[in-house]
Amino acid sequence: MDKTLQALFALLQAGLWGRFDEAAALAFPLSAGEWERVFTLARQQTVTGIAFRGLDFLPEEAAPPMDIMVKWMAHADRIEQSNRVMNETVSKLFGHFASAGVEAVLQKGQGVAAMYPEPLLRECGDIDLYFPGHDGVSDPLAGIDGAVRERQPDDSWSYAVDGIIVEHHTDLLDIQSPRAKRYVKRLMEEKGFEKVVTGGGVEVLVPAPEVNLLLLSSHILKHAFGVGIGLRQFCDYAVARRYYEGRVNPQEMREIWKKTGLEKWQSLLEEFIGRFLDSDCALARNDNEDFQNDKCHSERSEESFYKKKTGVLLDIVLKGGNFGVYSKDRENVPRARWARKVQTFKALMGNIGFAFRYAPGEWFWTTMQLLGGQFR
Amino acid sequence: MRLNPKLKLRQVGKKFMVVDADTGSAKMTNVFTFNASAAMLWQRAGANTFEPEDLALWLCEAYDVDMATACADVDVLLKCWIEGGLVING
Repeated sequence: MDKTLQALFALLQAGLWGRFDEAAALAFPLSAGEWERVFTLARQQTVTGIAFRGLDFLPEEAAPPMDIMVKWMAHADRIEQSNRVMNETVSKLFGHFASAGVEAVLQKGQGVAAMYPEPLLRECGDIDLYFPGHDGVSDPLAGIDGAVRERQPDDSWSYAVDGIIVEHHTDLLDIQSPRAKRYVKRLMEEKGFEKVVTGGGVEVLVPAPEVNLLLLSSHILKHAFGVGIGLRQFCDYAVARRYYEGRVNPQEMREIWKKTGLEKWQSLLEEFIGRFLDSDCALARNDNEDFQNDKCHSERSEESFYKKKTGVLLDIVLKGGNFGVYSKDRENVPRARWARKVQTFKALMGNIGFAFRYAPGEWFWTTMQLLGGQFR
Repeated sequence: MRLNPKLKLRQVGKKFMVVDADTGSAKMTNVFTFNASAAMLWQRAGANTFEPEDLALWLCEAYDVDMATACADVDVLLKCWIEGGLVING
């Protein structure tokens, strides 16, 4: 693996778990040019704040040059400031919904940030909301005062509050297969939701642990075989997995992955996280069947099999960065809705090999949804 | 006076720094490096209002230094902080 990428993963592991392991330390020291590349990679993957925390655990002699350190610090400051604004907006929104007697659920975002050791250093994006009991309805309220709302192709509503995009979704999860959807609905009813306190001290409702893990995993999948995905979403999953340790039953989770048709995808995700972001966590290689069924397995070791397997996903991550915004294919994002759909369709087709191997059902139904005009 | 609430003291390794990122670009001119005693004063002041005498007193409490020396050191320090916009009145 490229030295700068190895260094970024080492910084991320330190930023997430508070320590460097000996293997990670091999990536250092770096030249000024290599540090510049690590910083750029971190920005593209929207993990600048997490990696910045990792710098704190680096021996002084391995630290980046002062000019890069300063840029990094300034970036971390801006991330924290954005998160403070975000927390105030979340507080305002949840106050608004509560006073109207509407129960809102926070999807990802600050609900996941709360699980991080330093929530303010996780880069924030939009506010995604779901309203239980209003299935298929993304607009149980007239919206927040003064906000101009726009209806999206997937029936969700979006508007801006304090410059932050708020989206009301019709579904909690990015799962498109009708059979899996029916199962997820039952699972949501069974597991429900729970309260967490965000980094800003606001109590919000988030999905129950099992559903939240499913939400985070399926979100990564959708973007992995679509326009692209960044490391921040993988960090989210890694942090949530640790946060829920002991609260979710691994056997039950395996059932959930199986019933949603995501068993193979989940195995890849776990392997990816174990290899790059959480090397302390025991790998969940429950799918040795996958290795055994590999035509060439007799010629390759199990280690090289998994290295190749995660390498495919890593290529997708590096190609586009955060939601594919750094992908060459997306340098010119068309304005027309139909043209954007064509672009997404091309991205889905481009990842067909990957999708067919790890989540063929979801890929098929996502493509159908896109063709039907519902793809987000 | 009090510390500029937009600024944050950060420790990376053994270094203490404040970067004024509000200008939109991080230039070396917007970077303030602190020694351990200045960092201690910054952390102790936090979000509270303070007078120069408070800082001098905190220095005396933390280090083996007399009040006159501490006051002189604080004067120099505060001059830099005021010029750099690190502290504001009120």
